[in-house]
Amino acid sequence: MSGNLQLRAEVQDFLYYEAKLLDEGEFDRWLELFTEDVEYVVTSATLSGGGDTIKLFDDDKTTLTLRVQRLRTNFAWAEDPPSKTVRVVSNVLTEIGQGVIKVYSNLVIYKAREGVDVERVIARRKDELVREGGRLRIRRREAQVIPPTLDARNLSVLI
Amino acid sequence: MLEDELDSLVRVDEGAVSRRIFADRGIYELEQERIFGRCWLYLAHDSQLRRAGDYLTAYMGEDPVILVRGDDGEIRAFLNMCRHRGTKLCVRESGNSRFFTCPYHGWTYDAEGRLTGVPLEKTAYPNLDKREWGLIRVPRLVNYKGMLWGNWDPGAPSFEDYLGEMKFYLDLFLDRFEGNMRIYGGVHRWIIPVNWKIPSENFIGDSYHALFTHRSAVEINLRKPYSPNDFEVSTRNGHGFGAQVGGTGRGVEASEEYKRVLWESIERLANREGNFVRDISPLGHFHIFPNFSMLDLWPYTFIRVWHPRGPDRTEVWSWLVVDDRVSHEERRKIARKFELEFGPGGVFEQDDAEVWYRISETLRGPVGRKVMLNYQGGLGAEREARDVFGGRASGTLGAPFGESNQRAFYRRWLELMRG
Repeated sequence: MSGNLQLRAEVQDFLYYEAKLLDEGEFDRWLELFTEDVEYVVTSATLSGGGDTIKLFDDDKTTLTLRVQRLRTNFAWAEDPPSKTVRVVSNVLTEIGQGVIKVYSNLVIYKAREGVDVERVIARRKDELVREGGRLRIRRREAQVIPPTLDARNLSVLI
Repeated sequence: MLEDELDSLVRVDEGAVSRRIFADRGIYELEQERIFGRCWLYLAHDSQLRRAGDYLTAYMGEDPVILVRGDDGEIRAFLNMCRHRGTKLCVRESGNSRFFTCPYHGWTYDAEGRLTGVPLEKTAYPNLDKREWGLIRVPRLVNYKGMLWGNWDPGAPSFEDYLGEMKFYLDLFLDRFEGNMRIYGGVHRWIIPVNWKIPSENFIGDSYHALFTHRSAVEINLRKPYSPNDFEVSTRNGHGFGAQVGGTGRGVEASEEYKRVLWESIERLANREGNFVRDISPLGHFHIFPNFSMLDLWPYTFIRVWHPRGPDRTEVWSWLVVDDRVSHEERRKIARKFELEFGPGGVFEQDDAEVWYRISETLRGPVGRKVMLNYQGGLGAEREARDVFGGRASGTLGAPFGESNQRAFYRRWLELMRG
């Protein structure tokens, strides 16, 4: 039990650190938290299920990198000026799997542009972490956002 | 009073449109009656309702509807509302059921809209004639080559007459599939804080914005520099499309298997209708008045409905269209590209939403909402499409990157709003 507690503390620190990097716009360092073969999938609470199902994000390291590169183009209007974000990570649970650490967490992103409007992105996440050179890395992220009809003009933030 | 002002707010021949039509609550309410109450509205694709009892919920303007395939095989559409207290009957997105029961008092309707069950009927409603209290049926529903369109107006022209000259181009799209058009599972739905006409006019004619709004896609090598060879076609009933000459997005990375299916379909239609079909397919941005849009590109095609949700809110419903002749594995690749580019988090989509929202931001003040806007792009340069394309090409050809399509949209808008 105390072993799990230690693992959970380590994983929590990792997720908090990830959130901090994103909230501070440290996108290159954020990319380093993922393995090269990462699967990054975000679905909507609408129409989950088998077969062909449309997703919000279905990224790999290449497309995640592309998203980060886009932010530096001077033409990424949705993030120009950059959104001010606060990520709240909670309900962290860990589970030891086959060579991976399964991590469940909840995420609320508060996003403000200029002015008073605040958009919220709310998600449940299921991550698979591995150790590479002693460091935790995300090999798979699966997030589901609610509500089924997003009340956000876009998803310009990373989940 | 308001109606008397409409002509001064939309002066299409001068290329001038007042911003009030994007902000005024009175205009918005009038649109619900005169546009969404009278026009043909896209509902769903029939491949989404295969078996008896399959149902889908949708919207016609602000009115929720339910589509269901009956035991007789016919698809019907109803206002998604119990006749007793007006409770929304079905809140699921889709499913299969022979009956719809209201959670309030338990009134139950069958797939043909008949009221079949009223709890304690003999005691509580001894004289009820249940035949009078069936669901409110959408009076006009058409299955046009698999696309389901509805109209609240019993006296509306047929869907084909409503399409008018646009029928030729919608056929060029739908005939490509030879019955193999499918909707990839699910729908992207989200709310953009902007008037529904802004995304609509973007999709009918705004090739111009891609150069700047979507410049980032060129910077990260997702697109080659945008082609200067653009054309825009509008038709009399407020529909239109436009594309890069040579097919929109040709040269963009796409699934080989999909490109082959697409190319064979385009060849077949070019042989049928004339060589110009090769030059205009895929069809690029595409819009059927009032709120149905499509983006038809080499790597993928998606369709959209812009549901009005108040003067300054639009609920977007967006579906990926796939061809059943393409394997599941390739479809997933196509879907990934679509999600990366035009999902709510897509690298194109997110910038559209941003610039549209900034339009709403300047509509809040009494000065900004009265300003007349410039819709003069290519004014006076319109020609008959037939004179340029030949064959059975129809409609009006506007100048490259011009705004003749947007003017056609607002011309139709004004005609309908006058009553």
